[in-house]
Amino acid sequence: MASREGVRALLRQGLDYESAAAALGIGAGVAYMVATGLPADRSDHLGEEREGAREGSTQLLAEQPPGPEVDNRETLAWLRRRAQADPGMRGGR
Amino acid sequence: MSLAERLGELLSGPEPAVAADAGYQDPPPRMGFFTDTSLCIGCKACEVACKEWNAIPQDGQRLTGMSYDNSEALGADTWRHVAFIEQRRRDGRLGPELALTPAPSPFPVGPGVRIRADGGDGVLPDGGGELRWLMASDVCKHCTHAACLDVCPTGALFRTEFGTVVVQEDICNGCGYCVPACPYGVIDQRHDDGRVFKCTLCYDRLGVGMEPACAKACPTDSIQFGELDQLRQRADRRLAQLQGQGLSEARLYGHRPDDGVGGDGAFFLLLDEPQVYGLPPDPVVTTRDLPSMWRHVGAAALTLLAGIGAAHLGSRR
Amino acid sequence: MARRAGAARWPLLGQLAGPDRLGRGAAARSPVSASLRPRVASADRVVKSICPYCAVGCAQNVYVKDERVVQIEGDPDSPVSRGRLCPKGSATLQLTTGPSRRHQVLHRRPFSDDWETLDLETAMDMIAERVIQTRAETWEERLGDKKLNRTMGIASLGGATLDNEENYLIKKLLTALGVVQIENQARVCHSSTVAALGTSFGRGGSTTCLQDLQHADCIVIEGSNFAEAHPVGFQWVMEAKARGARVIHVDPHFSRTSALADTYVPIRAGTDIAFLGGIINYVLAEERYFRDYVLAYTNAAVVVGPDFRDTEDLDGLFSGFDPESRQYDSSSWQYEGLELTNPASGNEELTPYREGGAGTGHGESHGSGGPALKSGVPERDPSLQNPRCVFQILRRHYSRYTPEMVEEVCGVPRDQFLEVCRALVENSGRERTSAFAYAVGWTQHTVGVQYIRTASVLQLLLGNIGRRGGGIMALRGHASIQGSSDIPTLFNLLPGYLPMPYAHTHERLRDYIAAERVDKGFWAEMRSYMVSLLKAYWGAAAGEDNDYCFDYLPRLTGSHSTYETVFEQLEGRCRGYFLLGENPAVGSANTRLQRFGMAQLDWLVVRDFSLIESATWWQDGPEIASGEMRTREIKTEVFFLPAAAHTEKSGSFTNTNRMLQWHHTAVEPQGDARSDLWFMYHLGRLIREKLAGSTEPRDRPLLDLTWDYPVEGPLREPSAEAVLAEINGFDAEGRPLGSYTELRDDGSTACGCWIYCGVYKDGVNQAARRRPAQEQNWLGPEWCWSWPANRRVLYNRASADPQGRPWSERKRLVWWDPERLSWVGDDVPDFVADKPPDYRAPEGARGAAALEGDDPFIMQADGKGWLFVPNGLVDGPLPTHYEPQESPFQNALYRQQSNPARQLRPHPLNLYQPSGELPGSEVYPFVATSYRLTEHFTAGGMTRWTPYLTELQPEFFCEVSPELARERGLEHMGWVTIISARSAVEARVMVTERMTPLRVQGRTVQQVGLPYHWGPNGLSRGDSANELAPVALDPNVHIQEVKALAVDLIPGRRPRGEALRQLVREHRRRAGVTEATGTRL
Repeated sequence: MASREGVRALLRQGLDYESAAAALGIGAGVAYMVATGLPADRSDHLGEEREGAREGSTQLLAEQPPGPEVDNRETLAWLRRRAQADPGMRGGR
Repeated sequence: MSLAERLGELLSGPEPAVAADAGYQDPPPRMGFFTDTSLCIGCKACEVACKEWNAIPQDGQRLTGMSYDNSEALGADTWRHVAFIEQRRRDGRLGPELALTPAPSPFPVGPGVRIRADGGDGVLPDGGGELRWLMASDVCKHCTHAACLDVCPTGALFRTEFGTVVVQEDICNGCGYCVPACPYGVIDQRHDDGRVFKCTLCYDRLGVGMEPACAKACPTDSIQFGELDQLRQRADRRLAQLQGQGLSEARLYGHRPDDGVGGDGAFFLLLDEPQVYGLPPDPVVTTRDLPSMWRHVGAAALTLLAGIGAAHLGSRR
Repeated sequence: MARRAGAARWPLLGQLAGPDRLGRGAAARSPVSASLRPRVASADRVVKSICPYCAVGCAQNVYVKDERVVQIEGDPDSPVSRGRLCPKGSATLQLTTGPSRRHQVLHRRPFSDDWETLDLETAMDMIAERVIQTRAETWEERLGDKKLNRTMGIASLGGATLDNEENYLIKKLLTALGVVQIENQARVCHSSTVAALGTSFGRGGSTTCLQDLQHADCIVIEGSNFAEAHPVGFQWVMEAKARGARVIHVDPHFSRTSALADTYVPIRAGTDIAFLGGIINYVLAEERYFRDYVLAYTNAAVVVGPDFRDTEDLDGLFSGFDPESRQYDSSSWQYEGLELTNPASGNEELTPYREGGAGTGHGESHGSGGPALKSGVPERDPSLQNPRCVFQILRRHYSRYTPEMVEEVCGVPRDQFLEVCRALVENSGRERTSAFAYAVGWTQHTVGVQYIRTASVLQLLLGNIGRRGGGIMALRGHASIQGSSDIPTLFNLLPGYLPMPYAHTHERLRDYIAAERVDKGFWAEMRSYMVSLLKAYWGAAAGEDNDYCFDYLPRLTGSHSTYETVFEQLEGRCRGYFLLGENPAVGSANTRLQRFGMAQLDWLVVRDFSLIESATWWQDGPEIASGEMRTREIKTEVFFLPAAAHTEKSGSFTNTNRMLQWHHTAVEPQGDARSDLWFMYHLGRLIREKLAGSTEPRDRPLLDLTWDYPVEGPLREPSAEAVLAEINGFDAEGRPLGSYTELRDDGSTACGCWIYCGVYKDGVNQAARRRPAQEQNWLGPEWCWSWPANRRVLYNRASADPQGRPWSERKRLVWWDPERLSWVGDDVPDFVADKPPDYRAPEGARGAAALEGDDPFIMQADGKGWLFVPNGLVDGPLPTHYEPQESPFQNALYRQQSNPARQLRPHPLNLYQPSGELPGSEVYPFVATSYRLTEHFTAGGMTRWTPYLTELQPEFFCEVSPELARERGLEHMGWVTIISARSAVEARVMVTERMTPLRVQGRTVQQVGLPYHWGPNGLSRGDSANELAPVALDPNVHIQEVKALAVDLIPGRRPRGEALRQLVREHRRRAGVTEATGTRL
């Protein structure tokens, strides 16, 4: 476990949350929470200034597993086949 | 600080370094809840999100008649409980009781009388007042001086590095000592299990920097999770704002480090007296009186010895 | 959480040796506690999804471990929900993985008294056979000399909780099969919205987005229980409150929304037009309208023809009413100066709507494109003095809607009413804006469309439409009900609000286009949209020479709404029925009628998660209990097919702000559960295989249909993304199109839904974009995709003055930048981006070029917001207070009691009660209104089987005031029987001050509150409130009136069996109810 001062000391040295956390042997999300008092997946927006708070989304800090890959190539190929099967589209009238 | 004072601090009164006192080296800041009930819409997302995350069983299905509150109270199978109080305000006092036929309930079911347009002063032509529906999500207070923790003989209950109080299900033997100790009536035994269960402030989620399930779900941010000191500052500002808007009965509950439990890790903004919400007005940790109790025991023992001695001396004549 | 080492692992030693001597913290922590890891962190993958309940569309993270969903919680990246979920959204894990879901197909043979299991493949084959056979037996080739090309033998209901892609295939396949009775929850929920907002502004959806509410200075929530029905959306009202906005809630019952409002106004259910009309009168009389806005952006100055007569002249009627047919001829409502087109085609637009019978609603075809106007230039009076100009007509029309009248009719004390008026006028104008939020408290009336129209008129007068923090928020209720209206699964519409063709007028494509399109604005390109749709449906078979297969479309001959379908079932003409995630035995008006209808079917297919009431009525429904039906005499063959949950399929939902959001498959469905995409696709494939080689002309639309979607995996699930790509549209090279302006009418483009064109722009699924809100502006334009063209606040041109400058800095949203020569701002301009504010259309201009630089309502025929609607609505150009169909009160404003054009279907199972002063109305003396609780969802199919929700609201209760309880001898938590002319139900009694007696027209009236979620099935059971409601419909859109009923109350539980019917009959006898009651004009 790390204290606020412990995390912030590493941040001041220029490390980002992921590296600071690794150095302390803790997760990046809890490092973020310890440093700022804000959870990485926060749903509140109380507009306060917090030292070390990151702009943008932080939920990925909290050890989120990855999402599945998405691929549109099959769909585009299918669309081309659809259009090819309809010569009337190219002939216009 | 003398040993006696130090011991005293560990048992009652303000205790600023709760986690360090519990043996954690370089602990993180103390985390907790500020529940601003003026924002609560009574939706019970907190109850459901908590149950889903913690796989808590259903807690009985019965229509209680306690307004929209069918969960009734905190317990082993209800770790977030939304209270509903229908009341009529006039000059900050409760209006006359209405003769309802209530279901048995530990809470005062709020009364209310007809709604009519008033002259702007909250008082209606027939002397009544505007209708108000108070809604509040209750939870374990994670007291600074937690009686449940103090009386637990097995070490099942413990203070985490975040300053929260958690029951360890792998240790608890179901003795039930903690149940009557809690000044709020929160912790309770699960019927077909025997062990006690209560809010953990989602200890597992905190461990990866995620907020408790109830705070994440709450649609209006009535449940606010964060660093306790920052929450207290935010609460002070909010209270000032509400009082500035004329809500003179608004108050904070459980925020003061010098109260009977040393202040709560989960404290509240209420719009009326705590009793209206079913909360004890002056909760005290059992062990606050422990030093005084032992002093009295000691004095009694000495008195007894003196008495025995006097009787012995007297009998030797 | 480090583990302790060595001897210190013995707790006592560790305690005494370490820093935690009292053993309350670190020393007491067990190894288990020290190594705790939340299951979200140890999951295999997180899948992005969207909540399947209401139409806020909260984003969800779905965590999967070992191919099982282990957690569902909010996604903090969403600009709409910000990571939050209501109790239902929070219960999604239990909904989708809990023990209540079924995974096996069930089959009930005709006359059987129980289910049998059946394998999926056999069931699909049997269903395909049923469809083919019923269709063949009921095929209608022609009506006289007009082509029909259809079957009335099959109907389908459902779609609002299904994906857009699923709704698309349902509509496509069933249309190709000649089925016209295709409906969904949108009919009974927000169909009024489409016609009302469409005719007022040009598009039939919410004019703004939820996040914009934070900018309002005043929010009026009326006809809505916002905090309970859309809790996460309500956070934006709370944001507004935090900034000092005034929140006003007007409602018959004090709900959780009222608890958070600054002002609560109790009102008699059914009187909102009087209330809002009163505010209009106030605004006009006190001269508090936003004059510059009204002059420039509305039709206030237009002069109406000399033959127009208002309700003030005819005691509650407008000119042109025919008491025989109970319909209006709207020719006298038209603008002065517009040429009458030649008589042959002049009134022909109206003829099909006349022929089809009362109220064959055309209003919904204005979902994206306002009504047509005849050609020419209307006469205008910019001084607003001409007595026949819209402004003066409006003034006169509402002149008697005084504060005293509002108090009389609505029961709202004068002072309270004026407080609301003042709040609105003080918070409107250049510097301040007010917003309205409404839902089914407004839509579900016989004058539902006009309710919303009243708010539209008011907001136009106050200058709030298209402004930051202004607008009208239509709070729709189901995950994709906006989508099921856009795509749609509705009888009278094709995708993108193109109207379905009618037998009489729309013979050929050119007739159809001539009757429907307008000259000005984007609707001028209607032919391109229609041809592209036909190419999407029929591909290579559709060419110029055969009108692009326009003839393949089945024809309408009137209203074929779900309520008409029930009567078709009763009369034996509709024989087969699909229920796709909808539960009419609980959710539709007059649930008895629904069940009697189903009992006449040959076959019924129900797809759902659990055995909902609409699947089991034959076995244990109320009519079995009462003895009116006997299971062994019911011939209906029933198939129950378990449905896949949203976590088990991919697709898009369209939320209440017209935003399409994609949800990805997290896991495969188990057992025989399948998605509706799978069901429709394979049903279509099977039917096509069985009919392959058929020479019947009726089979050509089916066999020529493009039905070649790629399928994936062992379950052969069709690719939802391919369906989306077809909906988006593509060109002759197969390239996805980027905007509907690329659509052509020469067959070179195909597009399944023109208003969705752009959702797959550049081959990227725009609806799947999830750029975090924290990285964008408050509108979050790169989060998912909204129609039209990703605009979030519609009509935003009106946020600037005619010269293109913001009305005020404080409220600026979109404005003209003279250096960049384009419109700029926070939102995508709802305007041609480079059209300057001073653009004037050249003579003879057509289409978008005919819109001028100060025409913010670009989908309207004249570019203006319509205070007065000359065309497009069948019950009047201006909203008028009429009493509900069943009301204890006489109409205090006019002799005309109720909506003269309302749709009624008297029938022994659908009897009406006497109202007002008619004898017998005192037998049903209390006003009842139905509503929702936050813990449940609509007809209960997704909540009454979910334990975490049923324990929160376990039973059906009704809410009554203490006065009503005393009057009728009711006890808190006792029982009460609620009776109407249709049926009687029982409920637990909740006595509460939150129900207020009102003083109306000299006497006190009590109101009864009825949450309507219950039915006899599931874990939480109860009677259905909709047993009480009649089928009485708004004539524009055929939506039922369930928000204002008249009932009687008796203490105690209701009788069982035949005694129940006797109770109902006895009340009817006392009230003198016959089939003629309530049907008078």
